[in-house]
Amino acid sequence: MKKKVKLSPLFRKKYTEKQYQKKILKKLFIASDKELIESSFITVQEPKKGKTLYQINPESIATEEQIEELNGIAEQLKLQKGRFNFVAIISGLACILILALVLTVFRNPLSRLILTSALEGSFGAKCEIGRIDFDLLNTRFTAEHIAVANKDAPMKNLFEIGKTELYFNLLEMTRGKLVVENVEVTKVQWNTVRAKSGALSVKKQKAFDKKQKKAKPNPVTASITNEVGKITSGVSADSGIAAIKNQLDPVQFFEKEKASLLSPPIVAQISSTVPALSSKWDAKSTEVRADVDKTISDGKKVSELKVDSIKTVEEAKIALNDINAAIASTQKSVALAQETSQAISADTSTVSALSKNAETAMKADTLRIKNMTDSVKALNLDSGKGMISGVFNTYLITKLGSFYPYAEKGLSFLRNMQNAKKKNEKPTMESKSSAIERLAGREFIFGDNSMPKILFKNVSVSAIDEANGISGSAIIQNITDDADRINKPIFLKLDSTQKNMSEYVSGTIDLRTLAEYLVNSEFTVAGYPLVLDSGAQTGVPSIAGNLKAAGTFSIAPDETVRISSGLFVSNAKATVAAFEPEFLYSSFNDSLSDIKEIKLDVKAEISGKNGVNLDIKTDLDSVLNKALQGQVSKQVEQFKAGVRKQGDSYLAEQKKIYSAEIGRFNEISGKANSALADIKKNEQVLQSKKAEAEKRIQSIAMEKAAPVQKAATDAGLNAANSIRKLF
Amino acid sequence: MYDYIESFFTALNENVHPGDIAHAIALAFLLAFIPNNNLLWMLIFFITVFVRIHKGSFFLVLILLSFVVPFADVLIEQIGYVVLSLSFMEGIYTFLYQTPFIGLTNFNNTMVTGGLILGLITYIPVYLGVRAFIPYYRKDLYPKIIDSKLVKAFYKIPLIQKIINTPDPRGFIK
Repeated sequence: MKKKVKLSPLFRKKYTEKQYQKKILKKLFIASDKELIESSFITVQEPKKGKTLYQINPESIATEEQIEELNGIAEQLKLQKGRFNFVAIISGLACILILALVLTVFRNPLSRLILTSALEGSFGAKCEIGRIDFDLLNTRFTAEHIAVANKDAPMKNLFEIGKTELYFNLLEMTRGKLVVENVEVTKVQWNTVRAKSGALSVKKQKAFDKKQKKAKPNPVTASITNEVGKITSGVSADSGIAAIKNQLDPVQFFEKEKASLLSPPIVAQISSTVPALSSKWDAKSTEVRADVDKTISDGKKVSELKVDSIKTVEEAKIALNDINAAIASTQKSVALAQETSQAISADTSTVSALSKNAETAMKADTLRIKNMTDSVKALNLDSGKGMISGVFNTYLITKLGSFYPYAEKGLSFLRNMQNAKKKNEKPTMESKSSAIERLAGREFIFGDNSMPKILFKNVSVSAIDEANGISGSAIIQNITDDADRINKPIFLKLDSTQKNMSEYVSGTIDLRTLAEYLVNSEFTVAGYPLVLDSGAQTGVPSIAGNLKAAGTFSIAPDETVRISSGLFVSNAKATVAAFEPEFLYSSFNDSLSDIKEIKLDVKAEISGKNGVNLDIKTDLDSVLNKALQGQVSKQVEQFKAGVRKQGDSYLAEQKKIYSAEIGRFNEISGKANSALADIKKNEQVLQSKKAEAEKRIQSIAMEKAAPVQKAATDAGLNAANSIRKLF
Repeated sequence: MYDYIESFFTALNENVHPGDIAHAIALAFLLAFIPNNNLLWMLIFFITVFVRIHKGSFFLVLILLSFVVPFADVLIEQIGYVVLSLSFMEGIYTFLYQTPFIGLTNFNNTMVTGGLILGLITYIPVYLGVRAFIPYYRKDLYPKIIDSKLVKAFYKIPLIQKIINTPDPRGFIK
């Protein structure tokens, strides 16, 4: 059933003239609506006072549509109220009050949450804070008993801080800046035992690991790590006794000189070409030889024929035919042998030339080796000059590898603080599409107290670890995110002692745009027990003593690190494990045993571009070198003989290689030539047999004809005598 | 955005007080000129919540101006610079700057002060202009527009017909 539409209460009331004008007509801005309302209202007389009142004429609203139209207008009129929405104002103020109240009540839990998250995010392990108090009115923040666990050893704390008290500047804070007048950090301890594991939850640990992976390595740190890697893998063992031993080794000496010899390339050429030629002609010459041998064998019966034993012409004719056949066969073999021999002869001359070259080179090399060994008058121990400095080189590189990454992390943090306001993050597509960038504008500073967004004016830290006898203090001033604004570098002074050991560092970290140095500091460390164990490295001395160092450490704006320091090792004791050769060891060990103190000058320059350039100088190196040089000089003749022996042995080996190849080729080519000679000789034998056989035929024929001739002669003579007798 | 457009035109054609719309547009101008990363902008924005103005007109004009105002940034910055450089005001500025919490307004930034000044300068002209325009629109312009051949032809376009007859036209403008 359709609900009956009721007229809005606004139009059910009666209005005086004034009310009618104020509440109805003045609120109508659409002419048609005004006309409608005016036509719908009628005036009536109040019965008691006789006043004229305005009310809707019920006859004018006959339909529901008319009622709805009037109700719509009534709704629009209701919305027109005073300018201020007091309900909203009260609600808003209440919200602000509640927010302020929540912040006041929960300021400490919130501070705890923020600080705990920040520390856990930085150190990758759990953090506990005892008492925390953020006193806004007194501009003070206090945190007691902060303990951060060690992520690598969760049952130990990386550090504990007894009390941290921080006084900040409220005025600057209301400008959105964190300006801290003074920070006092007291009772710092480290490596203390924890009751509960300090490992983060799996989720938090994953987030931390992900963050760590994203961190890009600093180029200087990478250079140092690379150098440490070289040292630990022994790649840089290019000095010291190992190098001297190499110098005294005739084999190694001769190996270096091999490149200057003439014969190795020629022998290599022979080895690469002649075997191929030998293989090429081996089968052919064998074939020729076999053919010649067969021909000779076939004609053996003919060549051994005894011509005188032939009695008849028929026998002689048969023999002659055999001889002719053998000659024909031999001539074929001669042609084959001759053809092969001629073909080989071209390669034979090549091989002969190579052989001749090899001979010449061998003679030259023999002379060269002789001259080389004669020229060795003394052994130069240049590569063995850095005996002690080499050991300290390894030590210092390793120490740099351990400590520089921490220094770099701190520095990187401070630099990132500076860059945070300067770097322009690339806008995302979303931000590009949703906003048009506006000008940043310029900021006016009024008054002197113009501070950067972050400034820690003075931070003092004191640490005492009574159990380990460690005490230390640090003063750091002017930590800021805008060094240019305060126009001051960060100043730091650190000192600590542990029993006999002491460290002192004083310097500046200058993050201003035009700073000459990023870091410029002086340091002194003393009383450090030094133990440099060479391990199993041959001839590398182990050094023990007390170390003192004083010098400067600086980092240029291009991140080039420069260290200049004097090192002094008192109560020094240098030893070395026995090694061969004995004479060198005993001389070296004697020299080392005289060392009581070591003075070194260290200069290091490390950059991402040029890597690590470490220069360590000590007078001891030259003292040791001199002692060793004396011993080594006595070994010169023995060394020369060794080199000569190596040379001769090497040349003999070369000769053996090329002689074998040449000999094999000559044997193959000789085989073809001897076959030719043999077959030619065989042909001559057969030709002489042929001549003999023809002669024999003539002789047999003559022998047959002689009795007939005699009979004829006799008959003739008889006839002649008969005739003569007739006369 | 559609809601704001609809609300704006509804307000023009209904019995909404012209002052509500005029204040809304003038405040939108003021907020559009000031960069929004400071306490001053937030305070003014907060005030709009407590003042009875026509919110639809306010947000519509604020959004539209956010595309246009950056072109006036150079002028705003110069105005801010001139105002902050006034030597006779330095005492007041210093007092304000040294007062806790005032710094959060970033009033010492030329863009903020420039935007505030330009917004205040334009407030009354914009208010009066809109206030004068709305009666004119309601009385004279609106009937002319409705009766114009162009609008009539526009309303005859099938798509527009469909949009007009749809209970919730926003479905067309997703």
